[in-house]
Amino acid sequence: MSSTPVNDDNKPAPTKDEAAWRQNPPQVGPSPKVVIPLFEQSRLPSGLTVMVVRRPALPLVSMTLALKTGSAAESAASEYGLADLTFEMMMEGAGNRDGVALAEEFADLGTQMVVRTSEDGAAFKAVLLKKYLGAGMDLLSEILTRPTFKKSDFVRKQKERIADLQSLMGNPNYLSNIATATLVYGDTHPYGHPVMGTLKTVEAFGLKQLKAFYRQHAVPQNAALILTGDVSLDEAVALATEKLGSWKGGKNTPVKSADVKIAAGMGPFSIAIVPKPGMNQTIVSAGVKALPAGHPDEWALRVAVDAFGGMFGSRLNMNLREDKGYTYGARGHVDAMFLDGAVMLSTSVQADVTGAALGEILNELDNLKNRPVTAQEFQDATDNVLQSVSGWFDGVAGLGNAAQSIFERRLPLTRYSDMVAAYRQLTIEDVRHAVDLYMRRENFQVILVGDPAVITQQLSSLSLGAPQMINLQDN
Amino acid sequence: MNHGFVHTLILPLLMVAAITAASSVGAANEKEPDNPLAIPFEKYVLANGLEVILHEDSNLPLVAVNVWYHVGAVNEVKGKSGFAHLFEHIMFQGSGHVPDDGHIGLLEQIGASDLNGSTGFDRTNYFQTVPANHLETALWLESDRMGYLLDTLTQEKLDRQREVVMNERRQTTENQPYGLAEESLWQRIFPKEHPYFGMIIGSMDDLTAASLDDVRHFFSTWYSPANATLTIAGDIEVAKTKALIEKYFGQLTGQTPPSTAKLPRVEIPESFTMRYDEPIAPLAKVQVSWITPRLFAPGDAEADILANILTTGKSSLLHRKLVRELELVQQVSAYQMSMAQLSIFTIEAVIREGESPERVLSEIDNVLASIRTHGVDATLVSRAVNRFETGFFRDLEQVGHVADQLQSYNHFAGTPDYIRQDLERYTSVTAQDVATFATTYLNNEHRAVLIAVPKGAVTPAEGGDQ
Repeated sequence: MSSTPVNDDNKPAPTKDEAAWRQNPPQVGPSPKVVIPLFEQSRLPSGLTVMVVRRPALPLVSMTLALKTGSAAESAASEYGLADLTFEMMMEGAGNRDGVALAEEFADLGTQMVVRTSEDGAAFKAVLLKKYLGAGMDLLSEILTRPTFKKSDFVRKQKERIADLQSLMGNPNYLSNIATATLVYGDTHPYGHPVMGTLKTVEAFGLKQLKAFYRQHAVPQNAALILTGDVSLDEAVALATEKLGSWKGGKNTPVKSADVKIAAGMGPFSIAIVPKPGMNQTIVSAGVKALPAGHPDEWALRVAVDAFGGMFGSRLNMNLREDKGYTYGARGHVDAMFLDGAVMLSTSVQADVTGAALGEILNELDNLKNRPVTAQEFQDATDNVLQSVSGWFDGVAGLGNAAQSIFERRLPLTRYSDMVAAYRQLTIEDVRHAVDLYMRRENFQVILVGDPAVITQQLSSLSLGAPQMINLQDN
Repeated sequence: MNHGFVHTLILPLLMVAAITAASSVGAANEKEPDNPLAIPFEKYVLANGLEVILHEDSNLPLVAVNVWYHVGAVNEVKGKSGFAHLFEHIMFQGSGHVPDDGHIGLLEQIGASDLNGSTGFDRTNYFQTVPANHLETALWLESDRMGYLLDTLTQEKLDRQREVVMNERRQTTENQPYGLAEESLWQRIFPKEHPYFGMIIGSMDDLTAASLDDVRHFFSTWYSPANATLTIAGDIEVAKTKALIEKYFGQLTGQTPPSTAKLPRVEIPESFTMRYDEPIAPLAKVQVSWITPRLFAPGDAEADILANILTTGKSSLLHRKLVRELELVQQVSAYQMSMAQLSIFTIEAVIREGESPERVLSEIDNVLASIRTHGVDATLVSRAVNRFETGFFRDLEQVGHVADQLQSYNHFAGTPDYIRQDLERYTSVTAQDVATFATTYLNNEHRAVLIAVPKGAVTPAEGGDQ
């Protein structure tokens, strides 16, 4: 390896005077105009929505078929995980192709189709070179209209999913995510159960249930074909008409906000431990139920959470990482979905400072009262969004995701230009008001995943009340 | 296509007339209208040795500013594992004219995205995409830490980032399913003297031992302009950009970097199997690794294609066999980790409850034996090649990725002008090449096997209860 002697004198840096001009950040010209992509939409007679964002720079198209049905549509505990498994099963065989043949044909087109289910919806997605788009649509049409739901495939897929869950149940991050959702939303809330269900629910599913779920939800009125990239709205409508025009289906009854009883107010402060013996870190999360996407307070709350924990330079990260060195990172975000949403804070800290780190998080929440969001924080967080938004939509898959979230969450096509307008009008009072409404320490639920003995001992000095011990393995 | 893993600062998860460059080598590559798979660029070198690569793209009002230092874990010396990455963290803690907490804070205020630094085995990079009017701000920040990092270095900065990195190690290795098991297999393959041994993140002992003198020495040795390449991609005016680069970087000086020393030979002279008591994951895992040709060497593209054929998608050979037909594993994946000195090809499978790791290993062996004996179907190769072709276009979608791609070619292939040759590496692979690769490299004599079994679990003996 290098044998160069250490000798800082070899590096004759200019004297301070010569470089003094570097002392001030450069004066720069005016900000470029914000560029927001144009989201266009049409509808076929069948009720199928067609959404397009044109980006012809490269011969690529992202093809997404989005359904407004996700795990929130699972109405009873016995259905938890049903949406996810049903949509996965649609790719296990369609028409005269089995699951392997479908995968082979997508591979011939240089792509792979995946289906992803979340709380609000599900999406079948592939990114293709434009020359393969028509062929990709043919395969998509088969999956939507002629899934075979063969018994043997179902039995195999069910076992696969059970193995997936067994693996996930040992992953500390997964444990943290599902425990947090359940405790923050409450276990009877549409967002209060895991998207993939539990071992018990998945083991009890029958093929009939999946077929019925498919018939009810995989219908054109509930769906959008989203094409982003090198394609125009006219081309997309023509393709959708040719390939999916004959797709019919009963009227589904999608979840509406009015159908859901959202518990008023939020539970009192509580602490829960999810035991994972032997870990030398603790995953500390804290969450509070807040607001759905499109709520009038949404942007003010996002600015508040960005300043508190969203940015690298936020209070939480600067305190826990840069000042104390307790963690690799501490962050927060607003998870605003169709029916409801939450503020989530999370960090992994070394186990022997679990108590001190939690104490700092709670202090920072209290501090929001004594030291409300400052003018500088307000400006940094709003500028960050206004200056970076033009870059949010780079890439056809990213554009597809943005369109999908507009569709699933029933937001206006002008969602992002509305956001820019709203950010320009926000005031620091709006942001402080949102903090006061949504970020009260006494409403947070705290979830600690890690070694139970260490955590219990660490909590003893905080006098926060007795923690609840949660065993997720029993579900 | 897996060019080694990296450790990052933040978990993933944001004028006057032109001055003539002192020694322009001006490689240029004009975009051909009928071939969109090209990245036009201009490359030149400043008098102090700093390489510059410029790429214009005015689709969006954004500019990616990306600096590669030609140093990585490969340049660490014994007892200093993890140092290149720890050093990368210190690069964000302020410099001569930038306040200690100013670097990331300022970039966030101006709306930088794709903002991070990462340390690999063979290189370290720093990058941000900024609104086009803030190109100069990014150049100011990058040049200040290139020239004046040591002016404001303190013991406290080092200590704090040492703790952050130790927590990064806990989070990304020690508390990840199979993290420690994989590290211990890696450290059986690489001799202790080899700088890849520390797996970039390094050991807690070596991190503890890092001193301020180490930081000073590392900076003086490796962070000079002559050991760096600055790439700017996006909505720029070339003449104006060149003038700004000269203004901010032209006066910086530094040592001539030493060349990377000859490294100890790495081989697996005899196959071995190691067992590991897995502390985090509830299911057992089997992993098989071989030493394979380095990035861009003959055999490297074959490895990528074979990995794709083995485990990408439901129709892939191993997924089909192990997940769908035999129902033995929860997931299986194969990948070539391509590095500058050598590569590692790995097949890993997470085993379902009650199944035996030995049985899974022997089924993997059967599939490989069949490939060595009968070859692979040409259709499988062309499918994999189609996937890579789509991937090449997708890599051109964002200016930040384009900047990094140019850097990667410049560093590893010796020229930024390499995208078409790179695609050609894949399109020219035949079914015979894939079989030859499997026979030559993926043999039973020189491989490393890991069997990680959850602590306290009992697995069936060989053959299992089938």
